[in-house]
Amino acid sequence: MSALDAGVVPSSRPFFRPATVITALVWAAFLLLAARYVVDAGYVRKDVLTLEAGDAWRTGGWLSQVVLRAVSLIPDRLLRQTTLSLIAAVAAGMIFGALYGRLRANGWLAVGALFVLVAVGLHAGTLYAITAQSRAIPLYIAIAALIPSIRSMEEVGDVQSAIGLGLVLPLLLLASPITTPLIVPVAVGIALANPDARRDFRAFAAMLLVALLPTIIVAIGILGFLAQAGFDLADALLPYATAYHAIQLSDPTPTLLTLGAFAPVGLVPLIYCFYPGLPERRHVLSALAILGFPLYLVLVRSTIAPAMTPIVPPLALIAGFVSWLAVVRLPMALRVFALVMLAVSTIASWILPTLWSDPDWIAAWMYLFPGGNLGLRPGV
Amino acid sequence: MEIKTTAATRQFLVISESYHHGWQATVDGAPVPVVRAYGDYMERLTGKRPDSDQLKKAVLAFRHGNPRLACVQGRLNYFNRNENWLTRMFTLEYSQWFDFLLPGLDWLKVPIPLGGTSNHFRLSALRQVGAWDPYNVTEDADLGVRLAQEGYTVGVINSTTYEEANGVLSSWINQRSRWIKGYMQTWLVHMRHPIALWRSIGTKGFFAFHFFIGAPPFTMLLAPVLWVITLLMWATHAGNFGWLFPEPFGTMALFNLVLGNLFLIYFGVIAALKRKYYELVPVGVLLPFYWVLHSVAAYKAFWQLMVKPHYWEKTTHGTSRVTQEALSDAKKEAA
Repeated sequence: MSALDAGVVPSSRPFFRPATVITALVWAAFLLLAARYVVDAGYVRKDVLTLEAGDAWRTGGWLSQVVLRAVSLIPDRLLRQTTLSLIAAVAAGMIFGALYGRLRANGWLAVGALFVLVAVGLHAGTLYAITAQSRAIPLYIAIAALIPSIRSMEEVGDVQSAIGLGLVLPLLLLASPITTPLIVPVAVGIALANPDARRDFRAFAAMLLVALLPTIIVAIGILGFLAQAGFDLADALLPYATAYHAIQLSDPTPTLLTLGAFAPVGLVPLIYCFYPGLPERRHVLSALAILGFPLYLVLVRSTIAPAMTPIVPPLALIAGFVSWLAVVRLPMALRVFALVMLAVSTIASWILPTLWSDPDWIAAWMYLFPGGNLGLRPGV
Repeated sequence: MEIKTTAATRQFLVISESYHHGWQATVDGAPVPVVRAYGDYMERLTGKRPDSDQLKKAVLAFRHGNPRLACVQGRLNYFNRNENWLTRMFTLEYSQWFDFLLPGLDWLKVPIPLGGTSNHFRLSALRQVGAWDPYNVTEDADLGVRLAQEGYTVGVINSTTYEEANGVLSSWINQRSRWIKGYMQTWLVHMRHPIALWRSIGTKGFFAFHFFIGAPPFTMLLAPVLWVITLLMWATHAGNFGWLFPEPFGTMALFNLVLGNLFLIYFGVIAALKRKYYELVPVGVLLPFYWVLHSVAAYKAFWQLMVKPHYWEKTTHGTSRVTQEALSDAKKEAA
């Protein structure tokens, strides 16, 4: 704030509201309990199995790799499971707290914001990401961060918003090799969004450089630290080669079906694009991006990453969607529809488990219900 | 002392910051009255091109701001940025300093080292702190700290003053050595009583004082030593200097060298981008070479601090082609 604004803006907002902190703590505790419950039921996290299976954990998702590498130093399997669950639950708790704060700041009533959190927190995909396989969490974070940044570019469109979107792009590099190819097209999009860049090549080059520079810095940092730690750089880049060396087109229909069944919330941004009488200027690009990123993941799963858990694209859609809810101004009817669709997504994720594969994990949850599968529990 | 000047049209000769009742003035040999200026505010705009709205913004800032607001600083930038490599780098540096760093310090509410121009003062506050220290060669930076010590605040207004970037290397080194020497003086002067300083500007202000006034000259002096060690390590592949960088300090040093420099480049170019200086963005990658010049100037400053502490290295103004053309136009117009 400049001195000129000092008399206009009466006071600064607190960095953290108590409700945000409480929400974060409650959700971290709940998710940790859920993770503990699954472990107690005898389920072994997929992350831990991958760690024990050799080099398969080196996927090129740098954030998850660092965590897995650190956890691999822990000798005891149970402690490894607990540590991974703790990290995932705390990260998710903080994200939930931030989401609650942003929803409230965007005019959502406490009831509505809490409903969003409950629907997302109880979604099978969310619980799977926290309690079974957390590798995709950076990807969800990346998509959730991209959507408001794209919207900010649409809404404001100044250099600051372009810089903001450029600062989010390294998350795509850190998330996974499959999201890395998105960086350059998005950066070109950032550059072309600037009217000066469409007229003047120097402006285009400048905008492109500024959009890419944060990612370049992070990439150089990764390579520098690998070199400093004595790792072979060729080994470090191997996941990128592995990810793209065997491209084969398989039928995307099952993944698309899973996307539609577990994330019908995708209808809301679609309707938003045509809904009459919005209380704001319509920003179509960010709304379509909510669908675009998961559809890209569907394409990736059908071509280069068949091992991707089918629930990843729907959860990516939900991550982008709730992040969008925190910035978009929807009419009441669409808000209610969004909540209904979120509830439908969550319910579908539990009643249609055949669409994605981890029967052991589903069975572990069955303890919650009378007559559940007790065969998994050690000693039973 | 006698001051003579010529003007083609009716103009005022303004002598700022000093007055003596015995002064006499004449125009074409005829006596005229010496008019003494009074007011609540004082502007320091020395031979630059301020945005036309700057005085209004400054007054508005005082009227609407905190009653303890003693000074508002306008942003500085350059009108001859594309003249040569040095002026480009200087512009990147100033854009970063005045568009990012000073507003950041303003937001943090810590002492702001004032720039040499575009300072707008509340006169009563300026008088209370005793105005400028004539022995300090960056008297404005020192004044910023003393204002903070007296409980006053300094703000930044979104209005730019354009001045001439120093594009001659020798002149640039002289000017920069004075600035760095002034920061050294300011740090040394205020650190004569560190506890009193800490009590007067608070913990946050105390750390900011070290980070933004004390540390820059120190890092400029230290940087060449570290560059030489790093180059020797890489060139000879010898681990003889490894004892200097035991882990994790080796990794931290690498982080500072590579990522620190890259981030500084990034901050420099986005500052240029925000001003739509697109042509400066690609050349921003050359900023590390510009920082080498800072170290050269820092060593000169350090030497002068010991042998000529109060010597004022004068900046040669008017070397810019833009300035010369403007002067030429003015002369033609006057003729």
